[in-house]
Amino acid sequence: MPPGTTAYLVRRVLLLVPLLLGLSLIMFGLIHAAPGDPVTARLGPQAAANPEFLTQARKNLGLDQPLPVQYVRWLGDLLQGDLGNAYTFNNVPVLDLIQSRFWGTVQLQGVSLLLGLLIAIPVGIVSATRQYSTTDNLVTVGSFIGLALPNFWLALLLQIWLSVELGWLPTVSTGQARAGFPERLEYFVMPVIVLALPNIAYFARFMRSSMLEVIGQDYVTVARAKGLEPRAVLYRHALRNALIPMVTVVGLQLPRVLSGAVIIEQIFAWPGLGRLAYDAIGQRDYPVILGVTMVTGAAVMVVNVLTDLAYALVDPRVGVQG
Amino acid sequence: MRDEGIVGVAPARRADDPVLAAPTGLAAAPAPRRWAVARRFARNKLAVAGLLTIVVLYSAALAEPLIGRYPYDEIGFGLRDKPPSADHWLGTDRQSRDVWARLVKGGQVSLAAGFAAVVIIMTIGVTLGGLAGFFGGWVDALLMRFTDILLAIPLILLLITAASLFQPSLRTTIVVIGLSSWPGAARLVRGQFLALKGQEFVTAARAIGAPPGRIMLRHLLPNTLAIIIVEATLWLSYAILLEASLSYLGLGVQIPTPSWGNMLQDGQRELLAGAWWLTLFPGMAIFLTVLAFNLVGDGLRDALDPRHRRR
Repeated sequence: MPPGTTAYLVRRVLLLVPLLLGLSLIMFGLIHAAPGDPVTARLGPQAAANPEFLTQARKNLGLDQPLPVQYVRWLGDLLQGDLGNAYTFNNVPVLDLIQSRFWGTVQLQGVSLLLGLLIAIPVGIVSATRQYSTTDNLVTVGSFIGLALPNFWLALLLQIWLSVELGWLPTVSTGQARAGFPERLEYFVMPVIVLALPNIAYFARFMRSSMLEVIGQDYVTVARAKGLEPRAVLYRHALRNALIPMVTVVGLQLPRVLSGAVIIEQIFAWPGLGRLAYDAIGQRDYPVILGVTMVTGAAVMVVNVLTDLAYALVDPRVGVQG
Repeated sequence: MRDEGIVGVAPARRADDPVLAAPTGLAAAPAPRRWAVARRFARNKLAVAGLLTIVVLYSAALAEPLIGRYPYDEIGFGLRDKPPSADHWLGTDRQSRDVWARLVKGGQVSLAAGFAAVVIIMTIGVTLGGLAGFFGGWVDALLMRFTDILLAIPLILLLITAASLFQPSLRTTIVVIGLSSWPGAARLVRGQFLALKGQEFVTAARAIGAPPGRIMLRHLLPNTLAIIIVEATLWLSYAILLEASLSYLGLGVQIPTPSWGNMLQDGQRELLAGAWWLTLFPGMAIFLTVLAFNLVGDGLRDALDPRHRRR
């Protein structure tokens, strides 16, 4: 480990405290500024006809208190590891709700990320070693296309084609929990294709430029000049260094993995965090919205620290300051 | 990063994003001659194709009254969900409206929304990023921490939350996208100003007594302009995707005003009945627009920075 790593880590972790406080304040302010509240969102217009009932319902949820009081109460509970109970979703504790949905998102996005890397790295290498060849041009055009396809549109087209027309795959994933092991995989096919495609395009493009950068360097020329086999030069010398910047790229994608692709989970009725957050916002379910934002926000911030650290570890030239 | 993961990679959601962020150190090089840039851009076939596509798209949007053929909001009778034909090039929707007319009108709305949102993003981003980079100290620390927080919230969640504050409409969609998406641009500009302010020409300007405002506007900003233009181009594609996503979720532009996003939402109900044209064409339009802006943005970056050319 480079010198100063521990001090650096401590500083970065301490900084997370004010950042998370700021995050909770911003989200708390935003959701309370929105018109409507959980009571009206749930009971609809007929609730307005009975103001007494409205007042009582708000009181039960603690919403009759001034906002600063509500915030401090919420924060106090949070510090004891309690995110409160959901207003909807059968009033289960928010933490349980997040735990059950977290896994769904991680599975889906983890598979898409891995698949993206497994395809993109070889494609990027081939593309870089045959710069300006037909293959390379195809990869370039293909990655531009992959990056520009609106993935919710692609999801709709796949649904209509693979499930409705051909009947090969289940349309949505509501039956997923009950399905056995091999059948469960069927539910993954469409969402994974849709989510992996931009990953493949993005990673391949990055791998190509990273590889080109390394191949152009003097030490690779030296390795070639001393008569080393081209394959050895490529895989033993160039590839290793070309992979280093991928750490950052994958790190930058991880927040996405954790936050869930809201629309894709929505389209496939996938039991993940993104859909949970979307439903909660519609229902004005304050504890759930805050809970999901805090958990994903914290995860993103921690991953950012880890990415910077990992980069310093794999590339000794990068110091740990700032 | 295509954050957001909703769709696509957002340009410089973090300014250090290695693929789509504008090149650093570019401004340190002598300003490239304008014609040399244009020549390098013209040699890039993909970028030129992208530029032509954008010209065609904007022309079509402007010429909407001429080429629409039918009023976009005219509800017909007995023509529900008719497939493409000579009368209705792209078919009709569930209210017997002409899809071609709505696609052209929707393009007008989507392109305008994307453009307006990018104006907001770049105005906030350049102003805050520039001030933070130039003055440093607590101003800089405050901005950086604030962007740290905003960037930790998944962009689409931030957008949905912010959108729920208002009655959904075209105007609120633009404002919401603009106010939520500037942190990446701010960090990019901040980094450039930070790198530039230590250089000799800035020291020279200070030495002859130029006030801070003049240094920023006359010395730092022109040297950052290339990067700002590339960033804005990439954001144009992303803002259009975000508008489409919000409208698709029903939180953006509202019917009867068409946008490519709400056409997708509206057409989805008829998808099971086999009306594929309601989904295919708006999506194609979004795809082509985003692709074109990405190609141009990429071509511009390469043309402005010969060191990065054709990587």
